[in-house]
Amino acid sequence: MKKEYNYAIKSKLNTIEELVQIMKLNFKLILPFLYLILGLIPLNADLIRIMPLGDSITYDDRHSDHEGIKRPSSVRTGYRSHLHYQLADAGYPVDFVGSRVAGEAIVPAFDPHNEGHPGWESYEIADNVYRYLSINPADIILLHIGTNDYDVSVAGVNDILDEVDLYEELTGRFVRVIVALIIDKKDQDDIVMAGFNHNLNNLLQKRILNGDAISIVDMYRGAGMTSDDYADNTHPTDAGYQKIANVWFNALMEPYNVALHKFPYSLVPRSHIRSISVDETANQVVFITDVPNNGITF
Amino acid sequence: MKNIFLFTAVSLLLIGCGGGGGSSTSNSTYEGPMSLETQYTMFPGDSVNKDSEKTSLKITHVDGQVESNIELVEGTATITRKP
Repeated sequence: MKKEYNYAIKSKLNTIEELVQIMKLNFKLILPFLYLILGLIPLNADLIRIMPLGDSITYDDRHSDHEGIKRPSSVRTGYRSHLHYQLADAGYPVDFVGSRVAGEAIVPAFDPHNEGHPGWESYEIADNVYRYLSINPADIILLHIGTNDYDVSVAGVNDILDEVDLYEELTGRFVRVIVALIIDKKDQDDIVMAGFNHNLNNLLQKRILNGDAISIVDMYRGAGMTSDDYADNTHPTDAGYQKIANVWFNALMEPYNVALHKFPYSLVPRSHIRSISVDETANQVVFITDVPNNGITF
Repeated sequence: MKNIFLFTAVSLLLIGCGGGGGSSTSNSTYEGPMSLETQYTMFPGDSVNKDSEKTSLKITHVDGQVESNIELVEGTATITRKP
């Protein structure tokens, strides 16, 4: 019942979002407050809000869905259903958030909300992620993007992460981003995908050293995908999605102390922090920071 | 005589163990200019202000504790305790 209520609220949000798009106004700053005033942000303190963010691999859209008999969106689940079940079984019911709905007819039911945009490149996600977070605030983002870029450049992913940082800075909210080194093409030997993931790993390592609250998961080789796990040259089968869900699940189960990651930002503005390091047991944070002109008060 | 010798030996051992390591000891009450390679403990309300333009600190914080340890990395800075 509660869930149905949430779905009803979110469908209202979709309508509002469409209106905003039509008006083509920059609501970047006022959107969060507007939605809060309207009481439409589903703030559920009991559940961790996770935003599955990406392209067709997040939404679950295969090449065959555009030829002949299309699967209805209500049965497309991708990794999301598997992950939702795994988290629930482990005692962590979560709220998947996003403006899109896919997989709502699957039994057993899971939360079908997501921000999977088939065909989109990383730059398109970057242009919209601030708005997505404003409408559906998330504690954690699961980001799998870059397949449609088909380029070794990771500038678009960098833009996405900059937008998330901007959202955090302007709203005072903290968002943990788990970024995937993306899955390979079916034949597992694509040079462009290898180059993209190499550059992505370098980018993420650099951002982590600079204090960004990012975790890296390896879908590229770490998910154990084989050519049998692909429905076409790009998109996984259900068995492939199960493997992807396993990787997300393991990352979510690793020790991660939000309070500790937030601590440096409670003392100094983000721009002054040079590096942050949290130990493996998530018990201690060490960071190096420039002292701002007005000093640091503990 | 034997007891005196034993007492002296143990005393010397304890004195020897107790010394040294002063520079790495956390200083939780010190107020004033910071020195390099020295750790200071800061409590809620304490503050640090820089005395030179480019000043940076290494800050260590353990989950669940109210205090943090700081160390001057470069520049000059002054610690002020909560009144």
